[in-house]
Amino acid sequence: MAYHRLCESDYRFLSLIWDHEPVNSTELVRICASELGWKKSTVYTMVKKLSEKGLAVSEDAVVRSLVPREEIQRQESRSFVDQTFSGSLPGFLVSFYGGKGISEEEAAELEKLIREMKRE
Amino acid sequence: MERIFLCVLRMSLAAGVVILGVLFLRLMLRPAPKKYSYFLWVAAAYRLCAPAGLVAPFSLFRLLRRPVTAVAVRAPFELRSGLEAVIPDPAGVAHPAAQTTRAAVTAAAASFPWLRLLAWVWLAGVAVMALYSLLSGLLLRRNLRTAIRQEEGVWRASGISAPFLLGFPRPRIYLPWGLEGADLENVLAHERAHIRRGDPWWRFLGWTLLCLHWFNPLCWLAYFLMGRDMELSCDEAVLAHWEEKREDYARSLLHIAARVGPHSPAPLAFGEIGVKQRVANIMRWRRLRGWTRVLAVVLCGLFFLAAATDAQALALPPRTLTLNADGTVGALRWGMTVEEARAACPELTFVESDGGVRPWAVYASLSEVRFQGYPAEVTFCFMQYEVDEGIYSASEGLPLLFSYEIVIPGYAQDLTEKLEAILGPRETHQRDLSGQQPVTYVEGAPRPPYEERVLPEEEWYWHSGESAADLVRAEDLRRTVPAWRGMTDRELLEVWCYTYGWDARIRLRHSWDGVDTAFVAAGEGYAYQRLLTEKAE
Repeated sequence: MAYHRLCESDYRFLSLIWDHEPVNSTELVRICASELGWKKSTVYTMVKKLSEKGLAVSEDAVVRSLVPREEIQRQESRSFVDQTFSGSLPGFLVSFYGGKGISEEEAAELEKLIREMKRE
Repeated sequence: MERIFLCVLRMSLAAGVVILGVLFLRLMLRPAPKKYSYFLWVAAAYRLCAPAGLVAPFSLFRLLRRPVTAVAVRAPFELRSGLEAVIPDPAGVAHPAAQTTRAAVTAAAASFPWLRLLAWVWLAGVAVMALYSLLSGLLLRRNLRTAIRQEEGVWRASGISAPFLLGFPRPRIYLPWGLEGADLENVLAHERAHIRRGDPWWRFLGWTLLCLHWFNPLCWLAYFLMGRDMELSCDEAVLAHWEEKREDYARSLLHIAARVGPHSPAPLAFGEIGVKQRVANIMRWRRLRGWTRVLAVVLCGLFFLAAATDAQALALPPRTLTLNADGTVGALRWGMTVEEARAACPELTFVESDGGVRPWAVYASLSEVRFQGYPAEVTFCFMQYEVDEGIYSASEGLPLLFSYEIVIPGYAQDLTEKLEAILGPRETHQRDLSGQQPVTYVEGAPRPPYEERVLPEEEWYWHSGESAADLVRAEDLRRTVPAWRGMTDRELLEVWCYTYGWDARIRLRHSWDGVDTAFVAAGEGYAYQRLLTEKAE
């Protein structure tokens, strides 16, 4: 799937869609007003913008996403690691843990992940 | 329209003086907190939008006053004097009492033809500035549509690099994503201080005045420096509560400056104003205590008063003097001395000069009121009768310099009729004409010989001026040294010759090509004018 560069506003909006989909557009407007402080016109514009990017769609006044959250998260993370750590995941982890040790649970999770990824 | 432009021009000039004063004072106030410098700009702002200040002896503009010298003979056709008159100033340098009545402006426009053009250029400039502000404001708002509310009045926006304020009536604080912790705290403190002090409003006022005075480079300088003083004093306001947070605050400034690109489009950006100066100012800042504080306050207060007042009263309303049946005006009578005239007409302005008091002449009913005792350099005066308003405006010299409105009660459809009704029943003047040349009126064919006629003195004659028909009395016509005879060989429709004053300046006017030729003839003693016309076939 093509990479989508999302700015923070887009991401937050899409996040709301993920949280509430499938959501009626009127309801979405209400949610955005209370969570983000957006006007109705802004919401509709953003829905249009996202649908142009292929990330969301509005059919019969019902809005839903076209891309799962995990997909976007993956893309964002990858892009971040590529940019900041020249694609080095270990480099990222070292930075992330920054001198702190990792807990037992975290170590176990990581081991499990590594095993799964190695299999692929 | 021209009136508004002239008004703006005058305000701009006055403001220019004030701005220079502010610049000077700012240098003196350098060791002090910036809030004092910031306050000074209010004086400049006042000058930029107030048409006239109160008159006070301690006005700043007194410094500019030169001793007024005797007024030379002028005619309304001279462009040189037109410029002086077009820009009267609060120091009263050009003339003690300048005003911009409609008649005066019309006359000035006639003598200074670019005035209209300049006024339109000015207006165009204002429109461009206003349009620019509007468009950039709308564009910014558009980009900020997807900003997300973090808390009441604080919004996060993607695509901005520095925090800023935007919005009326209550400005919102817009922050970039990624601003956290101590930086966030400091930024919010700064922006909230701005809002508390009403800075966005002052900024808006400043910008509006700049739009109106876009042609004045001092105004641009003032706007820029005002912005800087505003930011610096805002930093100070924040630190007033948290003195110990100085370094922390300075550090935040540097963090944010590092993120901001070279160009920030925002109106009130945190990182926009020179970071170096701000950091320096923060580290240097200390409160003023005791007598230094009093001194600073007093200095600013005095300056404000000096700047906001005028040396002389400006916008005098047009005086209304009634035209009397005998041709005099108001309480003025023929043959009054200066003192009598002053007592009779307190609204007359008398100007000091090296030779003594020279009165500004008020020309009543189209002739002169002569003030005895002075070999007055009589300045040319004409009266315009504005038919649609029934007002006679008597103007001295270049009309913008001063004007009085002489109100003829009622509305006159027919000029002649009305004037004759007023001026008709009068006593005839008896004059001793022995030893003096008769006044002649010459009428005839385009080529010589001419017919000469003696004009009875008590009659009124039409004197065709540039824009209106005036009435002159024969007895006020003065003889010229006959240097004008040479002119009569031309093919002209009309030739008017008249002289004014003791240095009889002859003005030869060709009525169809509008060329003026002036000759100076040595005039001595009492002179009569020769009025010469040629009638077209």
